[in-house]
This record gives sequence, structure tokens and C-alpha cells, in this order.
Amino acid sequence: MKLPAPYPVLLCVFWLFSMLAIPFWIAGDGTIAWDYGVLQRAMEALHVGQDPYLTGIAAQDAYRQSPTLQAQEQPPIIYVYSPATLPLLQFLCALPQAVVATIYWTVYVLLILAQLLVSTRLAGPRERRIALMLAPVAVFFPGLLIFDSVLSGNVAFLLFGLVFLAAWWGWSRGHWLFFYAAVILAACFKIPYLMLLAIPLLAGRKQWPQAIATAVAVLGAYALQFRIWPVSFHNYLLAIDRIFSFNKDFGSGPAGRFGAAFAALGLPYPKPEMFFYLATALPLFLVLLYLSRYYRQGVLRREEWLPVLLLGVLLLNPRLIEYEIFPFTIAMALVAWRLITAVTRPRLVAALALPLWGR
Amino acid sequence: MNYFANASRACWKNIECSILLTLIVGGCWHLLRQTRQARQTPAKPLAQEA
Repeated sequence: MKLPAPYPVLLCVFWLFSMLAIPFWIAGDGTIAWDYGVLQRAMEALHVGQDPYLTGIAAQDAYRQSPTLQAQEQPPIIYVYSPATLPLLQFLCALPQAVVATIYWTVYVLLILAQLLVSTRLAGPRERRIALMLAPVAVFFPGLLIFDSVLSGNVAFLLFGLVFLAAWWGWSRGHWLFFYAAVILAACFKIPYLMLLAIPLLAGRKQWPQAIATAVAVLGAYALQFRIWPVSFHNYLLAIDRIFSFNKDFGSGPAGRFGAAFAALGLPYPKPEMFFYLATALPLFLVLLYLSRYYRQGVLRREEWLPVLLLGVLLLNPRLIEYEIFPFTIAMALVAWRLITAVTRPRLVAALALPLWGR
Repeated sequence: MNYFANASRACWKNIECSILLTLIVGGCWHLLRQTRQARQTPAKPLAQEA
């Protein structure tokens, strides 16, 4: 009897054990689906004719005034997506909640898988087998650190799934239309996702007019929302402010850490944070733009260029949250691996880096 | 559950930021080095190629 080849068996076993670990992880984690809970609370508020932003702000105020709540729970997170997303929530309100949850979590899992599989396409021919085998590990170690953001149910996982699928279509076929549609959808939820437009600019050819048109369309849509739903838009801005003033969640990006340091010192942070963002993001984009020229000339291969490009685009996001870093985990791992193998003493670097990152 | 609940959440974010900055600086440096090497590699003479 002929034994099966070791790699496919190992691959299946690794994926199977990773998938089997997830229910145990959920059981041990205690709290899950906290960001899906935010969506649910917003739907409940809409269902009874309330403003989801104001309901959330009221919950935060109640938390602030109750030492009992503060001792027992984490600060409440509130709905911070633009008013353009409310009609979608209203539509979902009309459906049975069990149906909504089933559809949401099924699509959620599929789009996380899509992100992982698209990310493995960033690996070079010699790295592809190991990247495919280790891909599910990214679920447990987003951003190369241990964190449970994948259990949050945040809508970002859906949006990045669509964006990654469309980006893969773009860089493999040269058609970016789906990508721009995905970015418009993503930016309706979170306007910083407009930075994803840098992907076709840096990986495609002659994409400036389309990218600018997409950005103008999104900004125009926000201006239109201000005109159509002035009260909701005002409350939306109040809710956005609460991310920083109440939740103090500045994210993991350089500008966010800079802003967090200012806030911790009790100094005004919005303007310094913005200037710091511009001072770091602009040079980064210019370096990426310079390197993209070599990609188009064929000096850099796709698998060499795309992981660095994606990492750069990730850093163009002014506020980096754990769930936004997750889709880029495999790209980060590839860049880290290539750096370790590129230096003259790779074993020494790995020996120094691993305990540091494992802390 | 936040695995870093016992440590400072801000500390975790600082570590993540450091990793990202290290990787982007290293990644760009690596690619720039590659492009420089590609520019410096002299084109093979036709006779040699043949």
C-alpha cells in the first residue's frame, strides 16, 4: 500500500488541529463577540426608534457615574460607524436575530479564511508550502502577538476579507473595479480605510484617476450624509470623539502612540497627533512610491514587493486596532522571515528576536 | 479576554507599534538594497550570453 505524501497530510493535520483548538479557545476565553454585541445593541436601539449613537453615549455616561459597573465590567464600546450604515442595520432589524447571527458568523468565518488564503499568495515559491501550513496560526497571533481579536466579531474582518479578495483579483488580473467598490463599502464604515487606496496606486498601473475618483466619491458621500442626516451625523461625530476621550483607544500605530502619550500627560492631543501622522505617513508613502517603480520595471518580484507594500499601507492607517492588524499578519511574518534570512548572522538575530517577541 | 490585561494594554500597543516599525524599516531597507544591487549588476555582453 502506498503511503500518502507527507506534506498534504501534515497540512491537513495542522489545519484540523488549529480549527479544533478554536472551540477550546472560545470556551476558555470567557468573553467573545463583544464587537458583534455593539452591532446588536445598535440594531436594538434602531428597532425601538432610538439613536444608536446617543444610546451608546448614555451607556458610557452611566458607566462613568457607577463605581459598581466600573469594578465589574470593561468600559462600554459604542457604535461608531457612519449614518450611511444605519439603513443596512434597519434592514437587518427586520429579520429574526438568529438568522442575522447565522449569516453574519458564517460570512465572518469565510472571509477570515479568504484573508488567510489570499495572504499565503504573498509568499514566494520556496515559502508557499510553509506559509500555507502555518496560515491558521495567524488566527491566534494577529500582528505576531497573542491576542483574541478574531473572536470579537468586528465588522472589520468582513471588510478586510472583501478588500483582500478584491486586491488579489486586482494584482493578479489587473482589474481593480471590485477593489474600489470594496474600499467604498469599507470607508462607509470606517473612513480611515481610504488609505487602502494606496494598494492599487503602488501595485497597479495608471490607477491614480480611479483612486482619486474613489476618494472623492467617499468624501462626497460623507458630505452628503451631513446634509441628509444632520442630527445623526452630529451624534456620530460625538460617538467618534468618545473612542479617544472615553475609551482612550488610540491604537497601535505610531501616530496613535504619540497621541496616547500626549493624552497620558494631560496635553491636548488631536493636532500633535495629526501632525505626527502627516510627518510619518508622507515619507513612508513616498518611499513606497519610489519602490513601486522598481516593481513595475520588474526589478522586484510580486512576492517580494507585496508584503512590504501591505505593511506600509497598514501603517498609513492613522488608528491601528488589533483587528485591523490581523489581515496583515502573514505579510508581517514573511517580511520578518526574509529580514532574518537576509542579515549576515540570521541565527543570532532569530535567537535575539524570538525571546523578545515571545514575552 | 485580553491576555495582556495584567500588563498594561498601552504597553502591548507599544510593542505592536515597535514590531510594525521594525518590519517596515527593515522591509524597505531590504528592498532598497535589492534594487541597488540590481542597478549595479552590469548587463551581460551579448557574446557571453550567446
